[in-house]
Amino acid sequence: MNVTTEKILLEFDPETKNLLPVLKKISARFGHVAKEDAQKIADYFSLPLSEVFETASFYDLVKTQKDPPLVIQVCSGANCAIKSANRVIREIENQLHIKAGDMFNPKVKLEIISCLGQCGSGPVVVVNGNVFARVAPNDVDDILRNYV
Amino acid sequence: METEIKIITQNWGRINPQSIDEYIAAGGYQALFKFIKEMDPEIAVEEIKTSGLCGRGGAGFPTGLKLESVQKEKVTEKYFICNLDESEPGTYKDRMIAENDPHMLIEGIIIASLIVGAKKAFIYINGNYKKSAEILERAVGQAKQKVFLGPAILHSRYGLEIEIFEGAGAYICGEETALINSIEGKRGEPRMRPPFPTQSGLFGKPTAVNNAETIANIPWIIENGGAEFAKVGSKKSPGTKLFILDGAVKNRDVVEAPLGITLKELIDNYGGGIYAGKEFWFAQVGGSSGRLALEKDLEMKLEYDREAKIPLGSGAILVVDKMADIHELLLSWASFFRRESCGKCVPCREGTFRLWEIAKRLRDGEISDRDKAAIEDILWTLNNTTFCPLGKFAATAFGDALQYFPKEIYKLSK
Amino acid sequence: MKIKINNQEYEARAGETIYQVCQKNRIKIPTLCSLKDFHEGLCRICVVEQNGKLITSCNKQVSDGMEIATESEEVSRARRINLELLWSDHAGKCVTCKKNRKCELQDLAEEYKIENFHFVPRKEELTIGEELDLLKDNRLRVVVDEGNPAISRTTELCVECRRCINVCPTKEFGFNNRAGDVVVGTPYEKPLDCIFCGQCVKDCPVGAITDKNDLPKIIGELDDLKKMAVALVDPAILESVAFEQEEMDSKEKIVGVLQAIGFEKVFDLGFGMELMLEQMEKKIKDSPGKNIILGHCPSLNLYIQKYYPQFVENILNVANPDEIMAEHIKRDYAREQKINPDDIAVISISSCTAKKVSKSENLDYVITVRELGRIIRQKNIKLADIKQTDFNNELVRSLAPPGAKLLLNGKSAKNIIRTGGAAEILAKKTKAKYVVADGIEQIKNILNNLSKSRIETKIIEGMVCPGGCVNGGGQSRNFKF
Repeated sequence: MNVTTEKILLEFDPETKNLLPVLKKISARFGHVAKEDAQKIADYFSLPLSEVFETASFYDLVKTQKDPPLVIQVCSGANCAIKSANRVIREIENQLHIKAGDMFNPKVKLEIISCLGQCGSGPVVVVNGNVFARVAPNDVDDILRNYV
Repeated sequence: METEIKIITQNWGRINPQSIDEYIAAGGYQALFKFIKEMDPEIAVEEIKTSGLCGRGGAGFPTGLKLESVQKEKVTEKYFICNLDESEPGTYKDRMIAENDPHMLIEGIIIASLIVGAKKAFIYINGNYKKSAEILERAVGQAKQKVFLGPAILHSRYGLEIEIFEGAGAYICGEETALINSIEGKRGEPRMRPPFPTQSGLFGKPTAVNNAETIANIPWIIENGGAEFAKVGSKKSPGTKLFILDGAVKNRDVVEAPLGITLKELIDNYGGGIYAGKEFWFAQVGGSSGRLALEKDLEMKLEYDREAKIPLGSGAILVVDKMADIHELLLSWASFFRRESCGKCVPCREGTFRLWEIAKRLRDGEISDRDKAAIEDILWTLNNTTFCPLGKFAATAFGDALQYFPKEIYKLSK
Repeated sequence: MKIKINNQEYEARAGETIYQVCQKNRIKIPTLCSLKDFHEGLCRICVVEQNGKLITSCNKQVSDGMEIATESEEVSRARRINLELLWSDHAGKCVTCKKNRKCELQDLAEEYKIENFHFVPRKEELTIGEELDLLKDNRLRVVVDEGNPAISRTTELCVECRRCINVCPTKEFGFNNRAGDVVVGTPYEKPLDCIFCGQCVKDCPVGAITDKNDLPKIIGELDDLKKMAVALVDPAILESVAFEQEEMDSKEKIVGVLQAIGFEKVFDLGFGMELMLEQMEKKIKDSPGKNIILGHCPSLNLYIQKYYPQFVENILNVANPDEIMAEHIKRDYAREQKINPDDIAVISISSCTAKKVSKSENLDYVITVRELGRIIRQKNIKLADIKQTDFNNELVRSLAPPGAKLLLNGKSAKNIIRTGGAAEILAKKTKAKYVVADGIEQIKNILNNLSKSRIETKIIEGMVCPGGCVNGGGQSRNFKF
């Protein structure tokens, strides 16, 4: 089905309480909120583009830039940190020859993220949206094999 | 332990959370019936004041007073918001409420909304809690079918609509004014107070924002009376509390225990004691913004008390054993706040950033005397000059660790 | 009510902030973010002490019996640390900064003796890897925008005070991203394409938003002996020049200084304004149309083109006074004086930044009061020794239409630089009705009403800068209108 920005917009009334849901939905559907889409959203809600972008760029679940095809996120909250989350991060860095937080690699991004509320089963690693629980450094190879 | 009272978790594992009928069969929605048939909002708020219930999100503000101040506002448009943003690291109790007994939460939201005179309530749920949001969405639909929601609840003069609003990943939105900004489509930045949300909150209207766990207590209070609730747990802050146990304890889980319990009792009786072969070093109480409790603090009572040396916060208890790497913890705290500061005020935006840089140098053992002096200044300004409490949060655990374990922290330093 | 500040009693009104009461009583409190109606409490430098606690004075309202200390050990520690946090990104960049010596952060850093900043490692202590990281990091965060003729931006020097966001009439800027990644700028880093009113330039406390110009070239023209540099002095700047250089406290002194920095001729732009009014008057009288929008605010013209293109036709098409005079100078005056027009450089010193964007055939440069200040500082002129001189008036003598009562007392010019002045004069002369809009909100209001045909008048005047050109974006930063 051909989902367009316009169609998504029409699912919502142009009230400010719908701005964040719209941004999230468009970001999820197209991978990010492109400039042209942000302008359409701004026009629909009668807001300056700057305000739409301010909001969009504030939240983790709204992307204003397209992510590379592989996004690996590791929680480094204290609960995961004492369960060796940082060793998991280093293992991923070594295997993929990347650095956490590096925005320049066009193929893969390794991100340190905040708590997902899955602390009981930490360390938590998310690969392209799929959550892996209780990840030990040894598991990294298995997990990544399906993606690389 | 078996004789201890369960309020929030009474139905967990006993009923199908997706079935409103099972909740009703277990005695659910009786409080709503009672409220509608027998009580006025003014009487109900008195019951909550009598109960001594206070906010379970961390601040511990008396719930009755908050509801009352919104109730007293003389405008027709008011809002009630259930705060289920729950982004404090190590905290997932509200998610468990939503997943194990969504109707208890919804019943509480309905009663609290009617008490304050709101016709519209929002559940602001953490954007990562997809599954919980779906469960709540279904539960709201079921409640509508039973006429517990809608324009005339149980065919009374009361009406209420509940909307589930999913957050978008920002810790600061757990702060009530930032949460309100977020619903309004703005950056989730805390607002200047006064005015307080109870006077001018969502869309400029009086708004009560309460934590999900707090709200889940309300049906029990309405049903059994505030006086009965006040008998449970500690005198200073009655009732039970969900604690999230993690780290070097045997039983890493969410448990319900009476407030006033000591940290030692909690770890031993509910957490099954320290994990075999590990040795207690310290515990962090209340998530990443929480203080550190040492061995000598184990007899301390866990309760909401403004004077408490170690505030209870969200109820997250992270037990750290002596094998843990303190540098990884420092870096974890610092990097969390470096990401989650809203960036609005100078000391928090710049301070958390510099603290994170220094934490990296600490881990790598490259700290200089100048860094040591810098840490002190940064922690001081975070504690004393930031716009909202996030600055203090960012300084709390880091400051405690430096005070208690300077040798371990600086041992690698040049 | 009464409040106590530093153990002394002061009278205060309910609703006032501590900061306002202090300002009224000349008690100095530093701030980097407060501005006019905007007091967000972001910089945390205006902190004062109340009952042993630090509070921000800019957004805390007074209450009866309140006791405040504006200086204490804690207060100065807070100011010092927060300044240093901002300074650690900034240090070492002053020498090459356009705002050097005119920077609020620099002033405060000096006042609070921020010398040995300790939040960042010294350059020589960084490993090569770290230095590369820093460079990468910088490239990631720093946004430079030189894509327009009026306003230069670099986020490298930004202190995230939000003043530009707050004053911008068309909301071009936003507070983007979160935490340490915050960047104040345009959405998606698109080049600034606004109405160039320059209010953001005027209010930026540091060197993040500055006047775009070609000062070395202008100074070259001034120094070039073969070139005749002509200054056009906007009457609006007379109000604010003294705030840029306090010695320039009279019209005659300004003319003297302009001559001293290399202008051969210094003319009063008031003359051009009179000529513009004449042309406007004639066109209005000749036009059967209604709702004629006076076109002498370049920002308004841009605003209508961008947001209300349906009214472009309503704009009264008259060259701005600077161009009218420049044309006379390069054509008639040059002929009369037997000078090759190519050897004349006409430079307008204006309170208007948007004029830098307007197309002009004869006008070579437009500089603001701030840029004039920089030229003076750069040339190291001893202002105290400058003699007072009057404007050159050969233009008036040679070009004034016979019988015209031009520049009799300069009254018209004084009126035109304020909102409504031109419309009032023209309405009187043409016996027509008029409406006036001051600032963007009123302008929007009038244009919206115009869209709904709710307005029917002859003359419409709108000024984007609140108050008019006298409060233009090119005025001195210290000038409070």
